[in-house]
Amino acid sequence: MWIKTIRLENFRNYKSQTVELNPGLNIFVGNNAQGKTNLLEAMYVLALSKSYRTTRDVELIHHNASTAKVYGRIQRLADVDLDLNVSRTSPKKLLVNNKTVTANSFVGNLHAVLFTPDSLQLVKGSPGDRRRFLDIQICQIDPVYRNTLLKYERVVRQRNRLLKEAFENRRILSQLPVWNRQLIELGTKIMVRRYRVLSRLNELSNRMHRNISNSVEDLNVVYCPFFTKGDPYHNYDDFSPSFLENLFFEELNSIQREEMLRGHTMVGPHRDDVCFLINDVDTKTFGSQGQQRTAVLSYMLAEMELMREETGEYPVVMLDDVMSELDHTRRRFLLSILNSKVQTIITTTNMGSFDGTTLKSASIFQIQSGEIH
Amino acid sequence: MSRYPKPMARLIEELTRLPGIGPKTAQRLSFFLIGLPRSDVHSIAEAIVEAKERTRLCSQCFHLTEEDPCPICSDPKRDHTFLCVVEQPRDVIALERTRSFNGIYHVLHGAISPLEGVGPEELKIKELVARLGPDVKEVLLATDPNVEGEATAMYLARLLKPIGVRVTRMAHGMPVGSDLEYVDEVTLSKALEGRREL
Repeated sequence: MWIKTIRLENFRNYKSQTVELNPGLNIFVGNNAQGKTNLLEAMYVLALSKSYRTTRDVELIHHNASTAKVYGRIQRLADVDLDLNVSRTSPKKLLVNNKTVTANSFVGNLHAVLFTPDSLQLVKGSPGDRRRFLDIQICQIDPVYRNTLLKYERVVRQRNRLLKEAFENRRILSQLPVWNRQLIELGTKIMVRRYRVLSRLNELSNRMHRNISNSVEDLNVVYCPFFTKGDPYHNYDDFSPSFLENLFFEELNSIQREEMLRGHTMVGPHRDDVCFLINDVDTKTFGSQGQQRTAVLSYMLAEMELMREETGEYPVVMLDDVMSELDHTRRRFLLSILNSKVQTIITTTNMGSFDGTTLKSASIFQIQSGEIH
Repeated sequence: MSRYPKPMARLIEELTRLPGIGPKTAQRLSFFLIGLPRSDVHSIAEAIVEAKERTRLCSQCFHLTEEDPCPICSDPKRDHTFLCVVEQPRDVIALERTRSFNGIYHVLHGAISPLEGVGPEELKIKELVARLGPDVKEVLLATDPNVEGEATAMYLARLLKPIGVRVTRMAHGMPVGSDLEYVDEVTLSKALEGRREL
């Protein structure tokens, strides 16, 4: 799939802007603070119905305006029109082919993989960062997962409140089992889905990483469900729902006293983590900056392949100002993989990162103070 | 608001308090009401006051009613051994529209939600247990299929099963009359989980 047209109205620093993209490589050049990232954000908003930079939609609106609009025409088997309208006064509106839809039906029409300098947080950041990256990925290919996740988060919030109240009033504890049951049921579904996705992502990342590193490095992306306590070497041979449900149940029982003292839910997939091992060593602690960056790159490319496997189409790949951070070999590898089969949107401050043959097939746009030429 | 005459500004403000009515709709409604003949306006106002004053909760099922007990509870033709538990009076209305349920109801007036400070004591649960004599054979839990509704259903199941009454839960499933391909993924996956032997 690819984005044919994107139109922004009062989005961040853009007044009114339409861009026609090409199905291959698109390069947006401009100095800092001209609107390069804002443009990628707009495209990403069409994929996810919300921004990855902020949870407050009003921040997307140009400071002189009261509403912001993003429109995109996506080329799939047939064209799909996506509209997102954000207003300061009324709730956000999402439209697919001019019909208002829920976020659940909006997400999944445009698939995107985003690689920014911040993506390094996937390795360096907190477990929460890693879960967020993973969930964004799964939500794009599995609409049911998103619903399960939202319900699970709701159960955790309800349960946390209950635990806090139970500290003062023990009688309330009798309500805990009804929340435990939903916690286990929804949590198990989430873990099974994460396990399946990460198993495949691991195979794909490993292959990508071998190619990038000339087979010197062996990358393993390891799922560490909450009960492994973040230990990537933990062995679990059984990952069936019934096994997980029992384990979850036992963990909940053994920790109940402590949970009540702390007033929050301490076991469950909201405590999951993902570990990046290179040659069996944890990259987060022991990897060089370059290794971490390459691991993330391999993982992002694996995501792209996984999306194709799951949906039959390549996602749109967006690279925000990352070319300058990669060395010559990695740049060449990246561009050769993306070349021709994937629509790629790259922002950069200088064209030095690209060779002549790459540029020949690319559409090049200049961005200056919220205007694109 | 100062652009409006004071009484009209007040009307707009009052209307804005209604669910689903924003300032724009409230303004439109106000202009409409003010343009109506006096008698029509009186009739609307009276209807609101009368609805409020003459409606109360049935002392048995806690559905909205004019006379107590409500027509459903006092109907001898209905099956008083089959009790359906719902969250809100509007759920009774929805089920009654189907004409396929011939039992009686019990309205909880909410669902368990610690975040909103609603526990079992805030709901009509004690009253429900009190109603369960030897003649009640089945309790159907028809609370909403969200996390709070599920929690309430589970709480009730744990409470009622030891009493020895049959406890059932509303099925999740396919909307009837629609094609499989148009059903949203979440509903469809629930329906898959709840499949049954033919």
